Amino acid sequence: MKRKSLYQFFAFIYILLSAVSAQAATVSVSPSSFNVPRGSSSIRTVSYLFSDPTSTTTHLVSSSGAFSAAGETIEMNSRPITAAMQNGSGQAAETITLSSGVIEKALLRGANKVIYSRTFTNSCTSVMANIVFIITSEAGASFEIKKINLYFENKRPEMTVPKNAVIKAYADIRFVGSGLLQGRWEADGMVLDSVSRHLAYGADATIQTPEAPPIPTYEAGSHTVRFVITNPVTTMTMPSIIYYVTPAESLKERPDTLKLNSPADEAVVEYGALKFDWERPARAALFQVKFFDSSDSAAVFSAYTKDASYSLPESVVRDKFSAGRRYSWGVKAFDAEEKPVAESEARAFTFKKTDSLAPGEIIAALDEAKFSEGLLKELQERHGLKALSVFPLQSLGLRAIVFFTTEKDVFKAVNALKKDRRLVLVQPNYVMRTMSDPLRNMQHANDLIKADEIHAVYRGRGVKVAVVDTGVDAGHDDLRDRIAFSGNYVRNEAYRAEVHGTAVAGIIAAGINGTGIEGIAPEAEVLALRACRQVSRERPEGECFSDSIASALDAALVKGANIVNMSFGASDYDGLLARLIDKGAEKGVLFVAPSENGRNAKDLRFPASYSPVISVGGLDEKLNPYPNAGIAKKTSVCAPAVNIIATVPGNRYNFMSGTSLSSAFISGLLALSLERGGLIDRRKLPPFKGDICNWAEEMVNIPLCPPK
Amino acid sequence: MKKINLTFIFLLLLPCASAIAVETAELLAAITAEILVSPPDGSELIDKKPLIRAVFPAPVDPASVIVILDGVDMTPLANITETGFEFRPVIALLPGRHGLSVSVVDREGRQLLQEVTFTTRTSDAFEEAFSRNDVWLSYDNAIDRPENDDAMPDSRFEGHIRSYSGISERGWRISLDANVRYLDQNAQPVPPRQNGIDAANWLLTAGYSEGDLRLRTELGDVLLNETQNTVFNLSRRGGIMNLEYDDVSLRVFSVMSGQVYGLEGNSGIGGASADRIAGASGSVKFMDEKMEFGVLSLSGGEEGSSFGAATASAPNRGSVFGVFLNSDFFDNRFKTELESDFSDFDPDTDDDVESKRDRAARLRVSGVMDRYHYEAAYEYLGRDYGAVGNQWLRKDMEGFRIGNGYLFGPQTISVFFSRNSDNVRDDGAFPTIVNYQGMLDYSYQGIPDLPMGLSYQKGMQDSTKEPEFSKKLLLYSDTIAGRVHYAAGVMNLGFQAAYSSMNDRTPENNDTTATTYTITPGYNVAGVSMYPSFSLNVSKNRMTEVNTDTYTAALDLRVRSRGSRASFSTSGAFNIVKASDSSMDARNLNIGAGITYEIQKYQTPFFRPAIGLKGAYSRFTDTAHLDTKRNEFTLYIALTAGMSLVY
Repeated sequence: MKRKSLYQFFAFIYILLSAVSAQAATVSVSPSSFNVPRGSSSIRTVSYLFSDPTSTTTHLVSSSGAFSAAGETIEMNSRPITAAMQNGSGQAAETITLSSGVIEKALLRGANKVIYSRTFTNSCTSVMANIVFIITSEAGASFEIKKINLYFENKRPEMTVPKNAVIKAYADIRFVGSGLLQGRWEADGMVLDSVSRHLAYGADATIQTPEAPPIPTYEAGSHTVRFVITNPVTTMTMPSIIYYVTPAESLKERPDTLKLNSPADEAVVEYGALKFDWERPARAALFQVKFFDSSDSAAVFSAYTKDASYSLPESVVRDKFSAGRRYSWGVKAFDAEEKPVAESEARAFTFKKTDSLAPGEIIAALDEAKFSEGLLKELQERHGLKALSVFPLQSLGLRAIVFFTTEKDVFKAVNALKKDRRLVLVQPNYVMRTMSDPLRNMQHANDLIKADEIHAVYRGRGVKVAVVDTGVDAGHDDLRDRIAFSGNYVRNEAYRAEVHGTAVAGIIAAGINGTGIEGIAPEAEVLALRACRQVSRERPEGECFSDSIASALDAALVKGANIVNMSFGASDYDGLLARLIDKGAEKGVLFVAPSENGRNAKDLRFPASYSPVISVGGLDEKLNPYPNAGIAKKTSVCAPAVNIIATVPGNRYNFMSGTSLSSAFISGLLALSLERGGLIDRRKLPPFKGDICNWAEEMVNIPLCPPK
Repeated sequence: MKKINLTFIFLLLLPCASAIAVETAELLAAITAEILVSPPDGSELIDKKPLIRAVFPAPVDPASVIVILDGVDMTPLANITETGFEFRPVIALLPGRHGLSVSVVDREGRQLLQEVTFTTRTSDAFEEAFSRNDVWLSYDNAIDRPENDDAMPDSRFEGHIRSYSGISERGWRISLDANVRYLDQNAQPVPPRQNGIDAANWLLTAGYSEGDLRLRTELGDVLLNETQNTVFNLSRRGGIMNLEYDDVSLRVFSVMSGQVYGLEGNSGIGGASADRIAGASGSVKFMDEKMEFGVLSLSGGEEGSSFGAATASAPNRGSVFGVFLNSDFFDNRFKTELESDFSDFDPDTDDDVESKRDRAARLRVSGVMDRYHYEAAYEYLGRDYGAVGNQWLRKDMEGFRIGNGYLFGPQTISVFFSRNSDNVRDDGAFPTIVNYQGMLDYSYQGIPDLPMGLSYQKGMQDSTKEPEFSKKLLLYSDTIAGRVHYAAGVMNLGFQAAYSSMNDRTPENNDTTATTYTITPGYNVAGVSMYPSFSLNVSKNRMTEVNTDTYTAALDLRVRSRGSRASFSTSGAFNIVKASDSSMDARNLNIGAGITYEIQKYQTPFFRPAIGLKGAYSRFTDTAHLDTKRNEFTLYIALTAGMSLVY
């Protein structure tokens, strides 16, 4: 009995000691909870800290861990962990991989958390540790790096570069949650830069190597670059990428900067020829100028030159550039061996919007015999155009069509339509303008050529002068008997009397009728062809489109005009009008047009610039060239242009200036000459030597001018 | 062809024009108004810089002549007279078809235009045959190195061949671009490099084109670009075959899903599907190429980390089917992109959970109007949507973003705003987190030598409908950064400062801030460039009350005296990291330097040898961890040589 009691006592003491020791051992886990995203695996590292005052030197062992959710074990981790205890304490670390499968199993059980448990035991104690994984979305997860991808500018983790090249490396970082990223760039183990950046979930995270110091590229051979993340702590092995430096020197290493002079950055320039210049760097033998469309960085045009300047030709501007659009340009310099030596920054410029084109309008012409309504419909459908008007050009045997395009860049649409081989001509519908200004002074133009003396012999009888202009007032007392025909060629408008056309017709052919003024050829017949419209009631300027002028010129040729006065002009060469002028010139028709009115004008306007046309410059009241000597030199002849009294609608008269009136003056003089001798070969006109009286004398072969 | 022959005959007969036969007079009269150009239209010649000349039918104003070759204005390079011009291209013409346009205004004011095309070849056998080979050799031998560093070799020999060769004929074109390296060192190379010969990268390209038909095949290190929600900008080893006919295009591809170096993975197109991505796509353009409709399908798997990339994600596998519709009716002013994708994706093939199906959609409009550009997009990414090869996609997200940029004079302003929320299925087991991001960036370049800029970013994340156990999330983030750069002749000075904070508005109050200052002076004259930099980075964790300061001073100096064959370069960095709780107090010094002298005696245009010394010194101490101390010095003698063989 005693023995039994003794056994019971020892058993009691053993159980008591065991219980005491079990209660005494504790474990704390750090961190004890994580937010993990669903849809991917998470790898987390935890530390177990043990405390057992009763133990001496021993070990605590956990043979496995268990993932449970909703009170049910869903997966086991069979990897054992051992913690060495010393002086009552011990520690162990574990990297836990929570697979997306475990997360899904928990969610299937309606739980949004997974508990990971481990029981550590030894011969006399047992202790349990729990870690809670709360399942959430990627945004709500604890800050964790999921992936890091390193690459160079070539998008690859490997690159070959010449010595001293400037290169960059990039790190794309995929993460969940939000937090402070800390890390450093290393090249061959040398710290290039420390990075400390807050990453908020949802923002892109691409980190690049610093501008300074650059990645070292002065040493030939293979080198490595790494981005080492120090926070958040990650178990990933940081990747490295390789660059190989060749012993050959980089030509691109910090190239010299080429300084651009003009135009200034963000300059707004006229839509036309444009000069670019820059400073010539040392060793530069060749330059490449490149122009870019600022909207999509595509090169629009480029050129090579050996000079430190380049003039963008007008025809290229029309073909490749659009008015009202912004472009950028830059220059690269090469040495004699074609190696780059300097490069400029990009500068921008904008071409002003132009009013020299009818917006969205294109003129196309095809053989009259090939024209049909079906073809017109097909052209419209194929090219996305709308026909605004169709008119014949009898003198050329063509049918012309004015199309409207929604393409903002008319030249682009023109180039597209040019590919249609059935069309013999495609061009924009140019806008030309008359060249006169109203003034209120006196004039003495007729006296300069002793008009009265000429009229005693010649008055232009039997000569038909077509006035392609704004509408001529056919009811004007001074013109009523001189108008042989009047017609309107302006689309969608009726014929009406306007200032410019009436003035021009009056200077040419105002009758000798005891009233008003006398024209230079007072008995010439006027074909009043309204191809231009007066743009406002207050001002006489006319605006004319290619299609209207073409119709009017065609009518002039069909009606047998001997002289065609075209007191208008534009900067653009007009192929359609040139064809009609050629056709008329072949038959001996004389075409007359004014030079230009702009004070600083350098070039003749079209059609005066076209060789078959007799170009007429102006003379001011002191008989000096008008508008300047330079342009006057380019003309066939000059005639009074300033303060000319002329007919205006409503039986009135006014003073006007402009080379339009000079053109009319010469048209009248040519009519007198034609009456004298029939056909005139424009190529055999007497040279103009600065004196209109002498020129007129030669034209009519009557002594007029005082001997010098 | 008739016209070409006549033109050519006329050029030949020019010196003896009077001898032109009567019966050809009519035909010649028909072309006398033309500009006679050599090479004649349709001609073929073996020349890289052919003589180009023209004879005008009548004297012209030389200032009116415009000569455009392959869209490039060559007029300033031509020797122009009243009767014609001639020049040779300064840059060698690429073999193939060339367009020459000559425009003049004659004395009569007529514009004359002549356009011809001609073809150049490099040889009789091939329209184009070229081979550029650069060989570089380097040998390093240690004079002094750390005894206990097994990774550092006593000697190292490295050879490198860059070869780019190709041929083309009758529409066919084949080229091979490869970088081959040889390494021999007595220490174990750092993977993926290994001793012996290896191809660092290579790309074999073959193509055929005729009229509207274009076929292009790439094998090797290719770049795969499909759509944003599938594979995008993916540079991998594999193959792509692309066939285009008129407005229809078809593409098939098979690439490895991981990055590889050298000959590992062979061609990259075969093998198991667990580590590759294969698929096909097709598209058709219509309405005058203003619209494009396409479909694509791809599948594959990704195993994990690879060369240059590390991931914490498990091996995954999946497939995607997508359709897209793009339009551009207004010349880049209003472009639209519509994409819809359906995936079957298993994010972890190691577990026993099956793959899941989900979808993603995207609508984006964007445009550029002169100085203004904009973008607006709606995005939906399903909770289980995934695309192999694109782990950058977010999941479980729906929202929009708007971006605008405007340039007025020297000022540029950009604005960005986005709002999205997760938990797209409104699953009660999760909170819904709404994420706002905004950004304003301003830069001013009105003072040419003093460009500057300022940017501000604001973010906010706010959770709602939190289920049991889920904590509230309310996080504000702010970043403000400024930059200014001053350039004064050969000197320049940059200064950047940034302050960012993350304000945790929950009871945990896990706030952090980071401040960075960087000064980058620079000096650059012919032969000398010096770029030091100084930066201070201060980060604070309010919850742990630990501040960490990082000081970095770095230098990049390169000297090469003009006319001398010697050059000297050095770079180095000194770095201090110090934590307020004494958990870190580390100092790290790295200096590298090299001096090179080109050996003139043996130099030829094709062989350039050089000798040099290169050394490095590194010192690392961490007083918070007493056992961490390192002090190393290395010095190598280096021999290098370069050779070029060009055909």
